[in-house]
Amino acid sequence: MPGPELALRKLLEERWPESERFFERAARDLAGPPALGFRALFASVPRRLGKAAGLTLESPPELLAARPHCTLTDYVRLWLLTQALPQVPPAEQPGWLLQLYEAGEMGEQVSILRVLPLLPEPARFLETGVQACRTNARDVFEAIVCENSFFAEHFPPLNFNQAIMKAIFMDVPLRRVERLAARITPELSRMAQSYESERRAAGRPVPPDAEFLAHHGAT
Amino acid sequence: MLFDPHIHMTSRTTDDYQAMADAGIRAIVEPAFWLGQPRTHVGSFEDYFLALLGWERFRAAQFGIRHLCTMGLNPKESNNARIADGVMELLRLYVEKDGVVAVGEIGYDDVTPAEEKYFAAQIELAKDAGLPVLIHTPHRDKKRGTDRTLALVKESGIAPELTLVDHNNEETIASVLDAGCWAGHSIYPNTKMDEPRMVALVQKYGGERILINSAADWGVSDPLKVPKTAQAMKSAGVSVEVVDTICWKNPVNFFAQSGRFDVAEFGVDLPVDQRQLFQGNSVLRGQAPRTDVK
Repeated sequence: MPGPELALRKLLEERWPESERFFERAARDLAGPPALGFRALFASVPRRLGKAAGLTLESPPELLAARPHCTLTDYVRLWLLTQALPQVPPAEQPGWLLQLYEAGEMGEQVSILRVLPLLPEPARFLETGVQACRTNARDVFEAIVCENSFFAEHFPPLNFNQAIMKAIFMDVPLRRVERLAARITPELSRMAQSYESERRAAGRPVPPDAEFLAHHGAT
Repeated sequence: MLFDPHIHMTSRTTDDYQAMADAGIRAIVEPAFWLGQPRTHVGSFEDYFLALLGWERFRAAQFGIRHLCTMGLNPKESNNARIADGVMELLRLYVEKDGVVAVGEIGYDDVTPAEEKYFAAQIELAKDAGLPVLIHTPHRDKKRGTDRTLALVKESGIAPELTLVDHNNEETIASVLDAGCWAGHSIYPNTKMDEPRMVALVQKYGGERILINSAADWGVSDPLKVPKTAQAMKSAGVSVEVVDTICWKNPVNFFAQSGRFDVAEFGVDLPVDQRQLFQGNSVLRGQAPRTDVK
């Protein structure tokens, strides 16, 4: 994806005065297949960005799947991924990304999930997205389920439905799920109805999002 | 005497052990489960299993509590293809260890094909080892997940009396009992089951094959839920016999099917001797050791 990649590099150079030093350092760790040095660099991005780490910015039109909440940290990590991936044999790329994700602390995991739809042929990285839904960490869960086009676009029904029900359990508002309406199926409504019934039997309130799903499509 | 048949003590403190002992808990079962975040190596499972058998059992005994455990690959982590088979290999060894009274907790979480595969394989493992199984039921799509659990149990051919199906609620208990399985209930501060609802279930279904536990772990949970629920049952007029059946006899009888402990010995208080060390380590930090042993 040379177009998006160039746009990304330009974005970083414009918004990060010290980016030149970073690109120099990165060149060292990107000279061969990504190893420990690359992982260390990937982890250290927010520290290197300092105050700019949490900066959100208007993304260039080439990065179609970028969202307004993506930070400079996310963009720098995205750039690192776009440089490292081609150095990993294609068949190993999904496994490589999954391992980078699993060995990442929460911030790294959040970045990886937010930029999943911006990676080349993102569907290959489904397993990383699916594993992320097994997290107990709210930030990580939101990074894949909320304001992320990857979720509705690539998750198979089983994993999509489970993640939606988990969002209800975690009080993550469903309005933050992109293209939800297109993914509501009778099966998902049935799961919500079952939850509604379980909550009533327990004498507990039914979350409005569960009610919405349970009665979606009802006339 | 009270028994908490599902509690994850590796994530609790010595204060919890002391409070549990003071509240009358004399025995616990600690099921192997996940640690709040996924493990990335098979070796992490082995060290965890060893900690359950070693240090944790020692810690419990220091407070007069008998510690038993179950071994298993939990449903969440059975979705990790890179470790699941390695853990299954380990389990063949670890189910044979002293103090292991069941295979568990196993079952469904997202109800994926991988979960089903390792769930069924671990029931086979239990059958080979002559152990009962402790089955976790999913939180999401619970009713359907429990029905599928019971169908798989039936298909596996394991005797239903060797299965304890856990985390039940008003909508699952009847089918679990009808299937001939034991029904566990996790009493939680906010989710799962609470004390008044549990009292209502006991008033409706009695005490046969019914168990309660705290399922306390690293999340918001309460290791005293068994004594608190026992009290709530008594206050609501449930007979002392039924409370004793649910909070002591049932877990003892269920896990005794493993043949791995002496039921008669279980009824006697475990003498505490805090002068003891585990591999050179004490649970004490300068306090005077309590000792019941002369």
